[in-house]
Amino acid sequence: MTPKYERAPKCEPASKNERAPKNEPATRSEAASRHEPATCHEPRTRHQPATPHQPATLHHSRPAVPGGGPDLRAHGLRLAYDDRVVVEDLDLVIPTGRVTAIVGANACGKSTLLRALARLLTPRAGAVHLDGRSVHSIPTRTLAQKLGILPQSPVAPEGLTVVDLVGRGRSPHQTWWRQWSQSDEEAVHEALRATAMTDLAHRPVDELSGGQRQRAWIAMAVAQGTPVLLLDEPTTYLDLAHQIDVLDLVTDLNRHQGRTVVMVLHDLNQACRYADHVIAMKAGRVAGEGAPADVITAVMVEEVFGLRCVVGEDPVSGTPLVVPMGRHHENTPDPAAVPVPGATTG
Amino acid sequence: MTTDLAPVPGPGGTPAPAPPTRTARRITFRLPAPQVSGVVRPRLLAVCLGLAATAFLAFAVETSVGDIPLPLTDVLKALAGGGDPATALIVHELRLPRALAGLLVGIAFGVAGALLQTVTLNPLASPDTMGITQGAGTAVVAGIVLGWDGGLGTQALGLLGALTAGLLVYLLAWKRGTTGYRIVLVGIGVAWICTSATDYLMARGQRFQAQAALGWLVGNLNGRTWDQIGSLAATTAVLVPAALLLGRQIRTLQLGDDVARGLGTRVQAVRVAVLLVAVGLVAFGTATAGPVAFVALAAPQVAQRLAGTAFPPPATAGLTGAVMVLVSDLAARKIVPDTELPVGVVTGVLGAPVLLWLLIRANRAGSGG
Repeated sequence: MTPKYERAPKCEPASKNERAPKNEPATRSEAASRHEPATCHEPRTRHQPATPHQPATLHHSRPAVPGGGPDLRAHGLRLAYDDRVVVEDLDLVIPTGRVTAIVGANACGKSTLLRALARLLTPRAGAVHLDGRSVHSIPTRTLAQKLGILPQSPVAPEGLTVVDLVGRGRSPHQTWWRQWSQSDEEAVHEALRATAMTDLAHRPVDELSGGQRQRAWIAMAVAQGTPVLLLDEPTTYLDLAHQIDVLDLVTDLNRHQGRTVVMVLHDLNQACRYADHVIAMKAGRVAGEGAPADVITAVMVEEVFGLRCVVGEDPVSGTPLVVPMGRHHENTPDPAAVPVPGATTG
Repeated sequence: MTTDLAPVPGPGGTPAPAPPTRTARRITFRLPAPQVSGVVRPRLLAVCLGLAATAFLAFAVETSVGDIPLPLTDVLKALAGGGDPATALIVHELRLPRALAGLLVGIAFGVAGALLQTVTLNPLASPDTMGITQGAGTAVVAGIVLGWDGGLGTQALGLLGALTAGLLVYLLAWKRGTTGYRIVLVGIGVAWICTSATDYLMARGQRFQAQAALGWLVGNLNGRTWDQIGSLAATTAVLVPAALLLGRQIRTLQLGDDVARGLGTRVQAVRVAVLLVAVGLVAFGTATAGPVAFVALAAPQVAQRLAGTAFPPPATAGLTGAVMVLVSDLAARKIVPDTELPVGVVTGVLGAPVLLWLLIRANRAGSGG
């Protein structure tokens, strides 16, 4: 297996030295299998000298979705609860047609940021723009046709069936006289199929297992049919197999349906493997962003999480693999013995 | 967005399963020319029709019983505008106001209870637990005991009290918006304040005043006249359709505020509208018949279990409320010979077993309420 950070320089020679913003999703080893055109050749033609946190450069670099996809960005964002400022002066551009993962320590403001992107939280300063308009000035229903949000561990009312829950996802497209159109029916059917929930469609959500329940909620967000999907810790409370199940589903939604996905994730290794673009946050600021291989380094993990670690290579996906040290294992294993990018040659 | 979905493997690599076969639970209708479409749930529709028929029957029986018993056929003729003049006079002038009051109060309380329980996501929410009926009670008792009616009748005082209490609950619960549980907790607080005030007034008042106050506080339909019905009828005619129109918005509120906003619902606006409608219905209902106990709490829960839905359906809850009040009033007039018990005494006695039976049945079926 060829690690991505060995191949990446071939496409994008400058990328190793550039820190945030790492505008381009790195060419992944799977890029050839992506349905969209591979991005390998693109950086050369459109990459401009990047300076940290000048997201404007990204504006010219989003050809991933043919015909131009949704353009979600934030500038000068200041987010606060009462007097407690959580996010200060944050600029951000979400790569269109990509999977973006927001990572960071607890209480670093990543969920708060996601809520602001979804207009659930009104910024104290700055704004979130979708296709050039502030999300707070777009009528909430119109916005709901373009941008979907799945909050962290939502609760379905007792007795509500999966198909009813998924059907609720169509409400931004319904009016009181047009309550169940053909397209509603098709969208729900497709959402159930995409999430493999068709067999469970008539089961109450509260009787499902945690993994099935999360898939039901994702199906609701899928049925909403928005080009942008924001997911707040979609893997919370799930066992490892179901976490991978949900993340594979997210990849499907991105690759097969071309949706732009932004998700908050806790697990750095999963973020590296499933995201094209990683935003690492520390104390309400962006500490680094870009392709996983460029962002997730031992230095960055120590800086953002205060955790000493060794970053190796995921033997399956070739993406960075973070192995934490902890107090009792500082000297073992010997960092030199762990495969480190550059040390291994595939 | 592209819609050409590749078949997505399920967990464990199994292919996507076949489409659902159990589709009998809903019937979809779509008109091609005006793009009208909707979903009808056969069970919900059947329950509504059954309840409407029962309510009408109870309504007819309510107009037939009294000091001069009338045959049901004569009553139906008189209701249709025919029959002999004497029967028509009794039915229209004496019996109809009472029966109409029962019907409308039941609908108002049932719909209001369903709205409150849905918007607070709490089956215990009702005007009885949220201070609205207590507010009406305090105002009316104050009017009786202190003689403060200021030219307003009992009805207007009850209305004023209910509206004030409802507004107070909403304002006190407001903190960067309101949430369901805050409304319920603040409501309980307001309810206890009002109950204490009512008790104090009762203790201060003369015995005959306390008796008059108690008669109203229990809730009854005795001696209703046409002029007491008018305002309730007008309110119901406006607010019940409003409640049904809000039903579509409420469905997303059931998933939590964040999800609802994400689905394009203006959460606070809808919540304010729902609370206003509910408080309006309860206020006019209470003003007409007093706080008829238990109807607003139980009718939505009974309706939900009859219809098999995840949340109390407003229309069904209204019809259930009407049946509860009318049947209870009939029982109240028939249980003790020569004595007309106030309807509020009976609603709890009759309604509670129905609710308990439905709860027990649901638990046995494995989908506990």
